[in-house]
Amino acid sequence: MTFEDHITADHYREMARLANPLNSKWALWAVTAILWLVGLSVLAAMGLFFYSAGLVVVRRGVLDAFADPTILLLICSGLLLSLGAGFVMAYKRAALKFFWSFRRTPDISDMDLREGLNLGPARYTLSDQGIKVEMALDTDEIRWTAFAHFRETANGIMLMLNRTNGMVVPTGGLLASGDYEAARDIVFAHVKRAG
Amino acid sequence: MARFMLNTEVTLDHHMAHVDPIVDRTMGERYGPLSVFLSGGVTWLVFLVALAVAGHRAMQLAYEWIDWGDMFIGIGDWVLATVVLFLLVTLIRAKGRPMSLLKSSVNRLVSFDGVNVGPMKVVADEAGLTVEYAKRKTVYKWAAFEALGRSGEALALRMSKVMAVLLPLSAFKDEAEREAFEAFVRAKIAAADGGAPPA
Repeated sequence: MTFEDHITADHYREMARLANPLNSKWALWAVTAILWLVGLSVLAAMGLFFYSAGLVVVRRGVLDAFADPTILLLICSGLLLSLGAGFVMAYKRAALKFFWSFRRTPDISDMDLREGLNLGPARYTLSDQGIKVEMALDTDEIRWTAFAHFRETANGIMLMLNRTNGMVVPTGGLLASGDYEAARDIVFAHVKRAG
Repeated sequence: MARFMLNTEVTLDHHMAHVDPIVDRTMGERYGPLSVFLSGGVTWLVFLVALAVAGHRAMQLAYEWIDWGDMFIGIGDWVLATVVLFLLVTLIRAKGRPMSLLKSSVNRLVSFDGVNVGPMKVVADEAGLTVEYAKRKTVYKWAAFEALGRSGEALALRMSKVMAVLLPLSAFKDEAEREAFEAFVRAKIAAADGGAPPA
């Protein structure tokens, strides 16, 4: 199947954004699971600590127990940690947003993209062997076996050679002409979809 | 009709020679000219400080052993030992140059077996340059190239600051063939650029 489209810098921005592991679904699940695990572990550890501290207080009396400043310090830090863990578990979404705020905005200036080689009008041919891209300055044929996986975005299919680098297939024209599913099926038959 | 037909193999080392200066330049542009020195130097500095602290702690433990006949090793000692060991392994892996680890990881991100690494066939003719790997074939028009240069042990047909076709020098039979190829490519790039070929 053959179709034409136009590759823009936005397609590469999308690819760069997807390359950031913090943007993938598994990262969301992993971070959530870790937060829960940390929160539960801290709560369990603090529960055990308070139980032990309570025993000390019962056996030695309140004044004797608190005469030792390390016990007071441990109880205060335990309370703070428990509050922190409780907050993270209760406000999971806010905590995730806080971590998410550290992610970098995709910067494609390092790619030094060139009109006619990476950007501009392109003619795509999808076959059982691979994909052929004809642009103003080059014609590129890559076998499907070269690609590790593909990703779908709002504006294109990203055929990825690894986690960060790949080939852009714009899908604006395909969606307009109703051929998107056919193109997607060909890609899907040869390249696995990113998890 | 093909003017040059070359069979050769591009390795990760060829890519490394191309990637190294790009990483240095990008780091310099983004974080300032001292960034390359600092990023390598900081690893050494942290390692030396950790080593000094570990040495001091080791002496304390030795005195404890002499005075008490026992050593009191706490969790902090294990953390310190782990940090020193981690930094030591890192520096050994990097052969004393921590930046080389960053560069080799960048190199692995942009080098793909059968796509731009491995056995390659190159055909240069009047229309352009055809580069064929096991999984990829690209036909470039001469206008795609901006300049011809060197990257370590390879010729670099540069398309931009970062993109280049690397052609190992070992691909050529002798110096005469390499010089003829270079002259041909330079003339084609100049002609495609609309200028006269360089003298």
